[in-house]
Amino acid sequence: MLRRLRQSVRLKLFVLMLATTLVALVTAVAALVVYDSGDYHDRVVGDLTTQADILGRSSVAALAFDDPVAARENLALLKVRPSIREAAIYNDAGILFAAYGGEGHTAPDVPAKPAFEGSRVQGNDIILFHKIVENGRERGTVYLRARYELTNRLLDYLRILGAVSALSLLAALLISAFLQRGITQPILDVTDVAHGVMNSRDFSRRARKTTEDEIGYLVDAFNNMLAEIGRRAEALLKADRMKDQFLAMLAHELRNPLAPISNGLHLLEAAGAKPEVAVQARAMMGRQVKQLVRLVDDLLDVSRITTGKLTLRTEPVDLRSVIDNAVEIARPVIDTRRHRLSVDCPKDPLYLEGDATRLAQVFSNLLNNAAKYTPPGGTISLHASVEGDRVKVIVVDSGIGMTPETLDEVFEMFTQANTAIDREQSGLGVGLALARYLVEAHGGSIEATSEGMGKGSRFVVRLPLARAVQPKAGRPAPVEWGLTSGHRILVVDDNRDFAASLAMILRDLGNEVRVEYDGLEGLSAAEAFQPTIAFLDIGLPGISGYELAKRMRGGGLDEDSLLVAVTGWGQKDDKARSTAAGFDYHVVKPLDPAELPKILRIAAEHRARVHGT
Amino acid sequence: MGALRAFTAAVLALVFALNVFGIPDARAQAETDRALEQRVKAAFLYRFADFVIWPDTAFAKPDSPFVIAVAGADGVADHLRTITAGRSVGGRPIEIRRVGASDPVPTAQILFISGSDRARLREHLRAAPRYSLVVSEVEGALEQGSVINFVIAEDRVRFEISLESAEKRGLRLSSRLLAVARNVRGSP
Repeated sequence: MLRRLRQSVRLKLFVLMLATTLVALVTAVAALVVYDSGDYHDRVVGDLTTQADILGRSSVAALAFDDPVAARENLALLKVRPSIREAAIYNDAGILFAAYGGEGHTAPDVPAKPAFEGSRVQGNDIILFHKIVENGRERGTVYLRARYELTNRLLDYLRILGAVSALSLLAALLISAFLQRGITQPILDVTDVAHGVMNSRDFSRRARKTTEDEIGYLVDAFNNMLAEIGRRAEALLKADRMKDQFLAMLAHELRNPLAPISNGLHLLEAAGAKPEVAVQARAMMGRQVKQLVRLVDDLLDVSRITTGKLTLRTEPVDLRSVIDNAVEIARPVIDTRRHRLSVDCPKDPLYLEGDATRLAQVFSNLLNNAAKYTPPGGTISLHASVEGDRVKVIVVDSGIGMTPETLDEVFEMFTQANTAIDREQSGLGVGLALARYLVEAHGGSIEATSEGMGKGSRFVVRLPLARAVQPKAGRPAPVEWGLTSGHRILVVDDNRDFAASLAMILRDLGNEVRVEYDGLEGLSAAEAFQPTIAFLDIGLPGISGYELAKRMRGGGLDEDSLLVAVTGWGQKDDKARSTAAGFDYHVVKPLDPAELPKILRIAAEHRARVHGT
Repeated sequence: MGALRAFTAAVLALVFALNVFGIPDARAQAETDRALEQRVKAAFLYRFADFVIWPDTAFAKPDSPFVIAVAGADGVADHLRTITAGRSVGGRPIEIRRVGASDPVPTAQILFISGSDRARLREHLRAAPRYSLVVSEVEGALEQGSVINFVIAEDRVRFEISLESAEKRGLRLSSRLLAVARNVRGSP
């Protein structure tokens, strides 16, 4: 019963109603009993006193003229009052004058003389002695003994309470059955739907709303939550599907460049003879490696965006240089597909507050996209203009265009047009998503429009112009070449191919190079070799690159030696950690060979500064 | 059986009489029946005053005393003096008067004519003032105009009443008095 009570709202309501009714009843009866018992006593005493007074007055003459017979006749009238069991009259001297009651009215229990004045309750009886006073003189006393039926009255009340309780129980049952329709039924409906949803995972079910009260509100809220859960479940499923698709595509995209690279290697190994074949193979392999690097860069960007770690290095940049860079990046794809590209940009410099590299990425992604989704020999145009306090850059192609549905999704991560023309250059489907993210991070906006399938696409980017512009004097000076030879260089990396290829390039530049593959060997080599530059991997077997750098710095290495951390991790705190370990320079893999002369030059300048030469 | 009953009644009457007067048993036993009867009658005479209403004109002055006159029964008069000592009726002091054989009938509110001499009774009745409650103790006195007449019934002093006479004399008798009367003549 208690268990059912805890689980059933209906039963709770019923018990509540019953308990309330019973408490009210008991309280009312208790109050009535308390009041009535006092009232009953007063009434009985008052009644008996009146009776005694009438008896006394009518017996005054009998007492005065010594006529007990007349007195007895008066008392005999009490026959009509069966509750009065005994009565007596005493004269003014307190001597029994006339009596009434008992078997055959012999009145054996009548007291011999008045015991007290007033009334007293004795067991189930009440006894009253009442003085007869007339014309200021005491004439005698009347004695009455009557039944005092308080207990019986209480029993009567209990019986009434019992009967009324039974009736109210019945009424509570009926009312609760009636109310259940208004209160419990809607709740039960919701509960049913909740059960159904839990069992079948069917979020399209809805509870029926039958009332406008709090329960109605609850039903609405419940239904809204179901709708929300349904939406989220669907979104999760969709995201899951997209991730699956993305993984499949990623594998495919990463696999694609590997085949030509592998073929190129074969050619290089087998050929040896024909130099023109080797040149072609190297060029082809270089393109494929670039494609691989681009894919991984995109992946890293996606990872940075989703983890919120993408940071912009903002500075005033000229839109013109940004667009030039973007065109330069996209040029190979455009040329490969024989598109005609026209760029129309205002002559005057337009300064933006932004990250030059990332902005170039935005436009190169747009141009790449246009090139990919336009049949070979198409036209692509980039048009930049000022619009109020913003610049507007429009990229238009004569490509396959988009349906209105695709327009909605084109900026979503991992989305691609299903009808990619050239799978070879299709990418990961993150280019436009990155573009949108970067544009918005710069406080701009991007939108896509298309007249429909086959009618080309049009992307519009709007970016805020910088307010107060202090342009840097011209472009950064080109890297000086020179001072790149004659170094003693130590390379420590457990990736033997990378280490070997790096060593090869450095030797080619005219340096003495030594290669080690783990941390401890690297340390002993450093002591023996005393390098002027050391390229150290961070994730080394034995001791880590950080530890190695620390020990090398502590182990008598020339203080003018340059330590370069070469690592796959390029986050800010990674750099801070390498600086703390004693590195002078931090480069992220893959190390661009074009960067090497710059590092060597810095090392030479560093050395010259320390030695004061 | 009858004798026993009579005896019991007599004893009861005696006991009640004693109770009424509150006289110690020792003295009561010494008294004769006659004396007892006189004491009872004296007490009754005094008590009639409680159950009779006299008009104001029954008194000469507002402060006139309440007079009880006793003709031919000095013993009764003496008892009355004892009983009424220090008492009053309706705020009036009580005055007891003996009326000798040759005395004129005085103005009294209650006039007790003792004895069984009907001639004397007739005389006194004629002489009695209008508002006098005439009490007698002879059989047939009511017919002659007496208002209350003592009788002895079952060895007890009882009385009978003539409402007719009371009315003639302008007196109003309490129904409670009528209730204990042995006999009431003339319907109220």
